[in-house]
Amino acid sequence: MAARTERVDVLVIGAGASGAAFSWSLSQAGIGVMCLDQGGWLDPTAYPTALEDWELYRQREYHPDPNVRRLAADYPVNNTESPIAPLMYNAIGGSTIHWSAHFPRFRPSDFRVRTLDGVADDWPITYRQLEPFYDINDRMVGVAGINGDPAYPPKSPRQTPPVPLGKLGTTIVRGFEKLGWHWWPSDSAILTRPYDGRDACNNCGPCDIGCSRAAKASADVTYWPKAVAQGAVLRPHARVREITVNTDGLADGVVYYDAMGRVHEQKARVVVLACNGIGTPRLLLHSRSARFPHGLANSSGLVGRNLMFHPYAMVTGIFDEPLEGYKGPGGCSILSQEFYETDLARGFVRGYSFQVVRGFGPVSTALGGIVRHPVPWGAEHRRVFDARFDRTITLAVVGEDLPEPHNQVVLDPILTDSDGIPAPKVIYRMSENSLKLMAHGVARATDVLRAAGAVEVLVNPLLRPAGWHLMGTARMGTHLGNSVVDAHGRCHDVPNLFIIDGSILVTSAAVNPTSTIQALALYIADDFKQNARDLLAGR
Amino acid sequence: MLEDSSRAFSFFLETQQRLLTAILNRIIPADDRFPGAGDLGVASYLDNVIGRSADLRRLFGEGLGQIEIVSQERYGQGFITLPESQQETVLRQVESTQAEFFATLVLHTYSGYYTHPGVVRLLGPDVRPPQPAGYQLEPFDHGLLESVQRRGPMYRDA
Repeated sequence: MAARTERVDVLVIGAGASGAAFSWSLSQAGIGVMCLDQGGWLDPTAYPTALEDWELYRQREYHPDPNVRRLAADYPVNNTESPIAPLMYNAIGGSTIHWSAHFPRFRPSDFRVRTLDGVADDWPITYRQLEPFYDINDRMVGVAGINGDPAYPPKSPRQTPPVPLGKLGTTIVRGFEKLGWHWWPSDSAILTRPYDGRDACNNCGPCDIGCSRAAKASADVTYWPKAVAQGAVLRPHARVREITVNTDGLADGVVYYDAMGRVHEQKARVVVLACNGIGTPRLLLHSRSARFPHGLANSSGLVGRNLMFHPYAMVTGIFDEPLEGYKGPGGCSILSQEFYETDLARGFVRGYSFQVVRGFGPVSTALGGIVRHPVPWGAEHRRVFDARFDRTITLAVVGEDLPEPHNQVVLDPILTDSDGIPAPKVIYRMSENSLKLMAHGVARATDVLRAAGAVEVLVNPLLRPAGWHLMGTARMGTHLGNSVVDAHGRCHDVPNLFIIDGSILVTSAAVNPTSTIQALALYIADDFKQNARDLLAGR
Repeated sequence: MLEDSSRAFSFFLETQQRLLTAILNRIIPADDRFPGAGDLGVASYLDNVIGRSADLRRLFGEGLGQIEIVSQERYGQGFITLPESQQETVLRQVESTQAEFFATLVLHTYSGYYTHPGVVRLLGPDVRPPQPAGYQLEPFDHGLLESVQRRGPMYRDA
C-alpha cells in the first residue's frame, strides 16, 4: 500500500462503473492503480429489502435525487434550469449501487449519426472496434439474455438465461405481438443462475434499493473485488477538489478532502477521470490554473457542453386483473426497439426505445407509481387504489437526446458541497426534435398498452427525476476544435490526463449507456496498456 | 410502520391526536374490508415522522391549526364534531390554501398506512417485504420469440 505522499503510476478519480472496469484492466497487467471516491463501501446485507417499511427508504437515504437524499458523500446539484433532474450516487460502485441493471449495447448506427442522419456527430470509433470490449465486459458483469435479437448484430453468448417475464411480461408481450412490433428480453446485468461465485436473483423486485444477494451487477461486487485482489488500491471517502498541473502543463496529481475535511495531496504520473457526465466537467472546470484559465483540458470550450440526458416519458396502463407485477426485477424485462432508427416520415430524426417497467408496492402505488399521479384521498381512495395496485404495466419511453452546446454543466456561483467545492449547475432544455420524438413515443406506447388490454392509460410526458444518464460533457473526437478527448480517451490539451466515463460519449443512443461506458473504459484501458511504457516514463 | 399504536406520542398534544385521527379517517376512510387510517392508528406514525423535524413540526402545527380555523369559520364547530361530508369540505379547502402541508399529510398517511401489517395482509398473500423469500417465476419461454425472429435484421449496420 503506497504511503500517502508517494507518487502513484495511475490515479483514477471515481469508483463507479467506468473507474472499476478500467482499474481492473490495468491492475491485471500489473500497472499500479489507485482509485479515489468520495463515497464508501456499501454492505449488501444492510439493504432494507427485508424490512416491513422497505418502501419508505426511497423517501430518505435511498431517494434517487442527491438534493433530497443529502448523504455525507453527496454533493448538491443546481437543477433549477433543467426540466430533468440529474440523479447519481457516490460510493464504491457509484451509481450502479442503485441502478436497475439495464444492460443493452449501443447499436452500430449510434456511432455514425452524422453520416447516416445528418445531425450530431460521428464517433471516432465504431461498434466493431468496441465489440471485443463489450464481450469482455459482459463476461465480467454476467448478463441475462438471449441472442438472436434482430435489433442487433449477433453477439457473444449471454452468460445466463433471460430474466423471467412473469404474468406481467407475458401480458405486455401480447400487446407487442398483436401490433407486430419488435420486442426482446432485455440484456440485463442480473444473474438468473449462479455465476462467478455470485447468487442468482430471486425476483424480489426493487433492484433500485439494492441487491442483498449480489445477483445484480453493481461494480462493488463485480470488478472491484477482482481489481483489489490484483493490486489496485481503493481509497474511499476521498473527495477530490482539483487536479493539479506542473510547470510543463502536465497533470501531476490531485488535492482531496478526507472524511474529516482534512486536505491531502496525491501525486500521480497519469490521472484518469471517471466521475461521469456531471462530476467530470465539474472537476475540470474547478481545476483552473494560469495555463488553463477556463478549466483544465478546456481549450475547446467544450468541457461541460453537449450535455445529453435521455428524456423519459412514463406511460402506465391499468389492467382489470392482477398481474403479480411486484415479482421480478422491477426495471428489467422487455426492451422494444421498433422505433429506434430514424424514419423521417415520423417528423423527427433518431428514435426511442420502450422499456417495460413492472408493478409497484403498496406505498409506491398510493403515491402514484412512476407516472406520479397519486391515488386521490377521500371517498375515491379505495376504488382507485384497488383499480391500480398490482394492475399496472408501464412503458418507459427512452428518447435519444441530441448533443447541443447550449445544454451544459457549469459551476454554480453560490451553491457548494460540504467541503466548499462549487456545486454543478445544469442548464438544459428539450429540443423541438425531442418534443416531437417523445410525443410519438407516448402515442405508440399507449397503442401497445391498449393492445395488451389496458382499460385506462396514465401519462407523464417527461419525468423530472429521470436524469440517470449523464453524457456528452467531455466528448470524444478527432481534433482539438470539436472535442475534449481523442479516440483513446486522452485529453487533447493534457497528454497524461484521460477521461473514461459517460462524459466522452459523442451521441446518446436511445438505450441505457452503462454497458457502452464500461466497454469504452476497457477499450481505453487496453490501448493504455499497449502504450503504458511511454505514458508512464520519465514522470 | 410497526404495529405499535400504543406507543406514546412524542410531539402531538392529546387534542391534536384526536384531531389528526379524525383527519386521517377522511384521508383514507374505512370501508367493509379496510380500516380507516385514523382507526388504524396511523397518527402515531405521523407523530414519529413529524416530531423528528423542526420544519415538519412547524408545518403541521400551522396546518392543523388552519383546519380548526376553517371548521369554525364555515360551520361554527370544531373539526371532530362535524359530519363526514363537512369534514371533507374543510379538508378540500385547506388542501387548496396550504398545499405543502396537505401534500405532506397525504404522503405520510399513505406511507404509514400501506406499511402497516394490518393493511398489507389484506392486499394479498404474496404482498410482503421482498427479501429474503423473493418470488418464484416461470423461466423465460423461448417459443415466445418466434414471430419477432422471423422479421429478420432491423438495424442499420455502419
